[in-house]
Amino acid sequence: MHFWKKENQNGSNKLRNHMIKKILIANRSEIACRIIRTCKEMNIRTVAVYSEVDENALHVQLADESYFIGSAPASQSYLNQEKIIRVAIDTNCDAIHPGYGFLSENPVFNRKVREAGLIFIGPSPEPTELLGSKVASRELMIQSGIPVIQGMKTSSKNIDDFISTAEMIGFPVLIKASAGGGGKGMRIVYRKEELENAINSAMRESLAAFGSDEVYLEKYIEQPRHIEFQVAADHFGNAIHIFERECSIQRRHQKIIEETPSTALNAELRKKMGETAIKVVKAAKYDSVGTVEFLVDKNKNFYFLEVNTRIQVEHPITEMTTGIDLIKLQIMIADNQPLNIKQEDLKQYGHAIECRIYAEDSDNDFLPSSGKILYYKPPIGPNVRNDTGIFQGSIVSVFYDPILAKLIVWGQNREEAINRMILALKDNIILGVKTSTKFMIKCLEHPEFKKGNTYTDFISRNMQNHQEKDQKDISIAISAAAYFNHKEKTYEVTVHKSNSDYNPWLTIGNWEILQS
Amino acid sequence: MELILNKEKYNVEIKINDNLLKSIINEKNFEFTFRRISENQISLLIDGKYQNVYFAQDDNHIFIAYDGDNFIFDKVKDEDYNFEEINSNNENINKLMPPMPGSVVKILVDKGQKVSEGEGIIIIEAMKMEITLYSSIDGVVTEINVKAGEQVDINQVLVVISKE
Repeated sequence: MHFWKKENQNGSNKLRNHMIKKILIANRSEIACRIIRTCKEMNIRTVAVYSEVDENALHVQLADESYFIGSAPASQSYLNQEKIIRVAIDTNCDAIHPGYGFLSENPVFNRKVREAGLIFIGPSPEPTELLGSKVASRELMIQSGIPVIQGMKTSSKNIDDFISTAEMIGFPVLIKASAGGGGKGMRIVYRKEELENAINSAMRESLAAFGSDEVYLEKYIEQPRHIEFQVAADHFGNAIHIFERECSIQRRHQKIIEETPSTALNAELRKKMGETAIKVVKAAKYDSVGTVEFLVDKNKNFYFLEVNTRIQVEHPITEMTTGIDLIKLQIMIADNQPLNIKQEDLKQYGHAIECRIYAEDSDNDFLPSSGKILYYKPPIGPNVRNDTGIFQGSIVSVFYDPILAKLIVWGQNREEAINRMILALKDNIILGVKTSTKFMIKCLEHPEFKKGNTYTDFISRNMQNHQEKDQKDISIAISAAAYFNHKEKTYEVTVHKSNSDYNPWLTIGNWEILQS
Repeated sequence: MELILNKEKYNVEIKINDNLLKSIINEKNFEFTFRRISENQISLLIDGKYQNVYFAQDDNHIFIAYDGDNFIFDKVKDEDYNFEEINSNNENINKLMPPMPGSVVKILVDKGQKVSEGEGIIIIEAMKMEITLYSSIDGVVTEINVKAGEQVDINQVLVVISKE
């Protein structure tokens, strides 16, 4: 399934000079590695940047060159705009790829990169700015006739605004950070008495994560599905959607299992939502690869949530079902090339699932876990993809997001993909930090998941007793632990008296061999 | 040897005879046919199928992976004050410790303040996430050992609540 045609039909690619020959990747972990791999395939040179604790990180190992940019806290390294731009200039880079998180959706950085004469691999600053504000983007969408969820029109510091809106639209309500994403600064509130505490806590979390404490409130839609559309738009007014991803399986409002196609969409709804996604992109004058997020309610009504103006964590499932390399597409658009895929040429093929492998403790409210990867044996097999940022011996630091890797599988159909993913998860051996592998296996094995009843409350609804461990499994684990930890083992060494050759090793009898 | 999993203590002894692994866990017997694959991997015959069990360890923990699950055991040492510390929490005293390294966002109580069970005491932030620690008893705040903004480590006692 290859939808890329090597040459544009009118031959314009042949005439166009490719500007991007060297890219600085302003990120770390699996996404930096992912980007570097595509760059290498495109014969583009790569520059990695790293903090104090990432000196030997995988992205540093993969890049052609790498430069130290500061101490461990992100504010002093991966968020240090001047330093990153300086390195890009000094190493003769043509472009900066921001990955996801960090500076990827920061319009100030976006502008500074351009002002420094570099290409920012992402949308122009104006749509980034507009879509980065949930309040402003919501207003634009209302004007453009795109369905949105009821709620406050702007953020506020006045508790009375929250109370009056909440009482007007009715509880439960959802508090969201204006600058937010990934569930940070987000709170569901069921009762008026809980409102004030939730607002303060959301404001603090938003300030810590995004540097802004602006929050607002909207109607909370119960039992919704989170369905997003991958989009791509170039600088010539062409825009396509590359189908949906369903990302309803979330814990702490953060996605952990994603799949495509969604079981909730039929061809008609897919077409309608896809067309709406393109309308969103055009309204915002968007000009890169991006994602339009929707909530879909029980009655299959859909509401615009936001646009993520970056490459998404879950982009590989779209790649697996369409054959498109989204990083390559993103680089080509940034390189001012026209889209050479037409909407009608795009097809979804088979079914893909992604599981995010986080260093976290699913038995303990998904608290992040840090430490050293003592042993790593990732899965292999047909149609299994492992986008990883770790290796045996690498350190999972407390300073950054605890994502270790992403497992992605493809199957002819959903059932095959689920079975393949369960097997891949069981074969994904990571020792040294806690991971939520078993939890995700239990999700995939759940009858409601198999039926496709994947609502955003799937985990709270279906996974209440997931912590319980089987006594037999514990006994097996303990037996193995004790086996590897037993200190001494005595071997009998037979002495062959008949052997005339003198061998001192054979004369002493019993050897004690220390094992640990 | 003794191992701790989720605050539960297991006493285990093993005997190895050729390809037979016998373990006695809290006086219950288990027996497996096994193949040693490497220093990190053993294959055990379970329910008629060979299944891989993976092993690694550091100074304080043993890590096992089996059938998609992770088991992290604490090794019991001679002076295991850590284990004692966790178990010193009872209905008369509650020592609040962070579940992971991080920084103190906010302390919600003052020394001498009366608090009730379930009341939020201190907020910790790590890996861009806030965690509130709650009191497990009704009592009085008798110790506050940290300040907002301070970096804290796992098993460090941050606040102590005592029964009046």
